[in-house]
Amino acid sequence: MIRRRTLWRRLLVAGLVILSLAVFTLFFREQAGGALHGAQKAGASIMQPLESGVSKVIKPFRDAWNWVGGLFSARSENKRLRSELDSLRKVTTNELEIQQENAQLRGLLKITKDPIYPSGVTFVPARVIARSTDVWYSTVTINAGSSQGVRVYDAVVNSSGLVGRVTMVSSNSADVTLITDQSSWVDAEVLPGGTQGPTQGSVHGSVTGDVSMEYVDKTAALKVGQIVATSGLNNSIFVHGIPIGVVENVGRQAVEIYQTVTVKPFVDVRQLDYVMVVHK
Amino acid sequence: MKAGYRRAQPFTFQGVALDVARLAFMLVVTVLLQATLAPHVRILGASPDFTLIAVVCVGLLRGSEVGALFGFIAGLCVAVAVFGPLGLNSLVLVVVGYVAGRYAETADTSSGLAPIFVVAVSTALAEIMYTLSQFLLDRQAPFGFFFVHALLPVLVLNTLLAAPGYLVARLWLREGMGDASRPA
Repeated sequence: MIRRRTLWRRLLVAGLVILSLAVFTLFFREQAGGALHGAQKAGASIMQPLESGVSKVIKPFRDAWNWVGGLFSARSENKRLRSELDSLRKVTTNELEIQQENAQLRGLLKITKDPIYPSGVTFVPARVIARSTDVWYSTVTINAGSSQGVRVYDAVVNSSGLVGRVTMVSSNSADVTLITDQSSWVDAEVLPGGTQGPTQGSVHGSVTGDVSMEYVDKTAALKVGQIVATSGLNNSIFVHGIPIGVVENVGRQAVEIYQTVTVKPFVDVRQLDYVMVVHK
Repeated sequence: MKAGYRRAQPFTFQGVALDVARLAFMLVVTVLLQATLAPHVRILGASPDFTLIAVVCVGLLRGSEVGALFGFIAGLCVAVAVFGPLGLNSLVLVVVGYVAGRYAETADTSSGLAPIFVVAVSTALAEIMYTLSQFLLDRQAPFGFFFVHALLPVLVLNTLLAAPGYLVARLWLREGMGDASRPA
């Protein structure tokens, strides 16, 4: 009895092992559309509703498990995410800087093709590397000098308009006096002009940073919003037509022989970065 | 908790039918848990093998023949449920069920540590068989990787789940043929 049972047991196990091996072998040898694959798909389609049902039932337990698991990993994940955030911030900042730089350089490139600059004028691109720290001077230092062809009295512009003029040059850098500096005087005109032609004057900076247009004829009819540009008269160091700003305010007083015109410059001198030196 | 296999009392049709129904239900639940819950319970990068634990429990409680048969069917069902290769799980679980059953038939399993020990040994055996089969299928992994990422985590997990799994299985299969929890 015991022997027969042992034999039966061994036969059963050997049979199951052989059957498993046969199924395993056939499964790997047959094509994807074979009988065993078909049977598996049929079985799966029967089990699928059951699996979906069970999956719904155990979802709260699964969520609870994931929640507990999440607590364990939250600290390390938080650290990882913070580090990732830091690195992404750097990348984003870099990206924004590149975009801004690209826009500025494109603006500078447009200057060289601007028809207001006569042929023979040379352009030297430069970047602002320093700026004056006190209120008395409104100057910046650029990273181009005599080696790059920059000379004293060259005009300095950017894509918005006139920035200033070169007042001192070394071999690889130059000081630029901005139009907001109190020592800056630029021959200018107000556009569009009347029947007598554009109103002339001189744009002058001040220690407060305000820019005004001086020596404007009292009889000239100026309006807020008119454009102020370089006149290029009297063998000026600036070519004709470089935009400076807009008329912001016009004041007339009986005792004065000239009008008081306040100009809002196009160039934001606090945001200067890339500039173009224009050599006449 | 005491483990142990004792020869079945005289068979009755009713007892066999009830036992088969219990085993079938246990099979379905195990397969569904393996397919739906196990993939989400990841500890140390591994998921527990509920099917293996169930097969070991059936082997311990019902003997080598039932254990091997249960392992064969469970292997096929799991392969169908998770779209695994047919036959591979069956082969491994037949051996696991048989070994667990033979252990219960021949050794003293009255110690509460017996199921834990058998689950641990069975898990190691199963993982080695899986790895050998993968090797035959030309999928190779360095031993260190296999030990750290495949064998060790599953071994720890299954061993931890062995005691509660065995307790549930013994409660569920407490009546019927080959009841291990009752004295003969």
